[in-house]
Amino acid sequence: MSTEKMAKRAGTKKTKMNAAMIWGAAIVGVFVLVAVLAPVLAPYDPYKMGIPYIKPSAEHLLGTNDVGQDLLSELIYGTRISLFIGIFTSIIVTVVSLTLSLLSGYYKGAIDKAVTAITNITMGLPDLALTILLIAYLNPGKLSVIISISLTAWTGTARILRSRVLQLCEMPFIKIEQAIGMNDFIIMIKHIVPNLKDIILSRAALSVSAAMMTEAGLSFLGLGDFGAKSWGTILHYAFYQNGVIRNYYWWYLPPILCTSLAVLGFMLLGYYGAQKAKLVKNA
Amino acid sequence: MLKRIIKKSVIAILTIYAIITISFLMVRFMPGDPLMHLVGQDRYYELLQDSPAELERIAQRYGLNDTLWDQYIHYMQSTVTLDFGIAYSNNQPVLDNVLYRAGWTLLLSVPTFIIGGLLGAVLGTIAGWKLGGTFDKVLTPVLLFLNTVPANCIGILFLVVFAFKLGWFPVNGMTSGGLSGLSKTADILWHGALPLTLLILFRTAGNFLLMKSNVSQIRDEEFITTAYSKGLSDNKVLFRHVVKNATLPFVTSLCMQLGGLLSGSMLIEVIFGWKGMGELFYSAVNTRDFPTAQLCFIISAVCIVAGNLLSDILIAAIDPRIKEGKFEY
Repeated sequence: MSTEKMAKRAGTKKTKMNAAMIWGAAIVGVFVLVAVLAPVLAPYDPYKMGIPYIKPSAEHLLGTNDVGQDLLSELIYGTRISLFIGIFTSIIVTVVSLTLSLLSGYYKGAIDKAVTAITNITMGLPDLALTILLIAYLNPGKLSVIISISLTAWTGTARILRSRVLQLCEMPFIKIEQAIGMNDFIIMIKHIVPNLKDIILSRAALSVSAAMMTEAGLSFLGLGDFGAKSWGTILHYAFYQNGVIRNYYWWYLPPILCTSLAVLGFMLLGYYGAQKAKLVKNA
Repeated sequence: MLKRIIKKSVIAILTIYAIITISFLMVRFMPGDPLMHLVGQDRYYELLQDSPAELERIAQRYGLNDTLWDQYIHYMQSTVTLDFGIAYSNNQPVLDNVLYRAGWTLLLSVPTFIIGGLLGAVLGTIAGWKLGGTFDKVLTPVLLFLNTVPANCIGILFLVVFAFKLGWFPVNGMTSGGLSGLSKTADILWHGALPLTLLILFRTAGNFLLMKSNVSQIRDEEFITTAYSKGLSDNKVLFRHVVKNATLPFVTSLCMQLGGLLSGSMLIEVIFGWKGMGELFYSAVNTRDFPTAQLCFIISAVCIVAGNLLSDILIAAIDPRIKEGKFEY
């Protein structure tokens, strides 16, 4: 037990944040706040139409789009959808890859072979192309977007976690637990998972940024959820309804900035978090 | 060594087989009439109105009335003989369409691969060698940011600044037409300059981070201390010991990038109206032209599998630890 506690303590020491992570956390925090407080912050109903192409003014801080919807309100509500899809996808990705890596790393043998084979096949799939195919042919909606992105996004995390689980299983404190006949499930949850915490968190943050990036691309291509207005959707209309050509900067610039900033926020958390956990990005 | 290569090749072939099967099942189990996916949405409704008999004939041709197993056999046969049918958009074989577009994509992705690989390696080595120095401190955040920002976002910014505002480059397309010889080449280069620059930037950013982390890790290894204590100069340590070792994982990841040559530039192609394979795939999905989309999908997948296989073989060929079977990746 004491070995494990030491390992645990070392783990908690490592999670102390560095400057880059604090920046990342601050950015993410602001966006989460905006998403939660959207109804309070948004000055207008994002779906209400009005006079089109108004330049930024006191009334419409970021102007209006081609059908006169207030862009600031669209942007604020868009935060909800972009974040929701990013975070939800990341949760699915993390849970799936954690489960698979625990199974394959702990039990080894046939399960490990099967999981590795599935991982290899999935890594051979062109991810963006598959996601687009699925979204195009599934019924449109947030859920299809989330499922389609998750389907190929879990492989990286699963690989890293698996090799870590394999390492952990060779350590004395796990061997001791097994020797005294502790339940496998309890060993995994109480002893292995806590030691994976740093990796899981940093990979989860990276997954959010990757999923948000994919979602931004998809909805920019007009393939996301039609009803929901994410940042990518705003950019889609700005691009295809000539907002870019006519240089209505208040239309295309804010969604670009928001997407980039949010992705950067999660990336900073994940990338520098991974460095803290002594995990090189492409390990 | 040979055993390893054979094993990896078998796995690669099985993976491709699995991918082709997945793409078969996808058409059959998607919501909606599979016939609609196969002939394209517009064409489907058109035929449904005008000549249901023709539609029935197509269903016969694809064997949609047979059992799933017969359909599968038929599908596998036509895939192996590279018979992917006729595209309804221009009555050309789907394969010809896709291959023609693939050429245009390669025009962007091959220079990206080469220049991005070299730039990333050189810059990454410098930054990793002098970790925490000015060069590293300035370049890393910039390239990390580039590696982070969605391609379409920067793409649009480039379009606005360089094509609309400054007017240096064309807004859209690949050629002005009516040119030949050298002026045509120059024209294509001029049209491709913006998308190419962007793709190279992205690729450089990714490779830079990779090489930097390789170099900075090896720099701290014990054999580097040994090399220094032998009295080697900085440069000799760098080129003989650090770069040599850092290149191995870098080259294998370059091989994996080879797989993305055809599928990696879709968003950029769409934004700049570059009629490559990515753009073809996108418009095929939009018009519900499934055979075209499917072929693009399969070709991209085969490329990725081949790239992974190549990196596996290469790593076995150059890494003595694996060659002797002592070390499993």
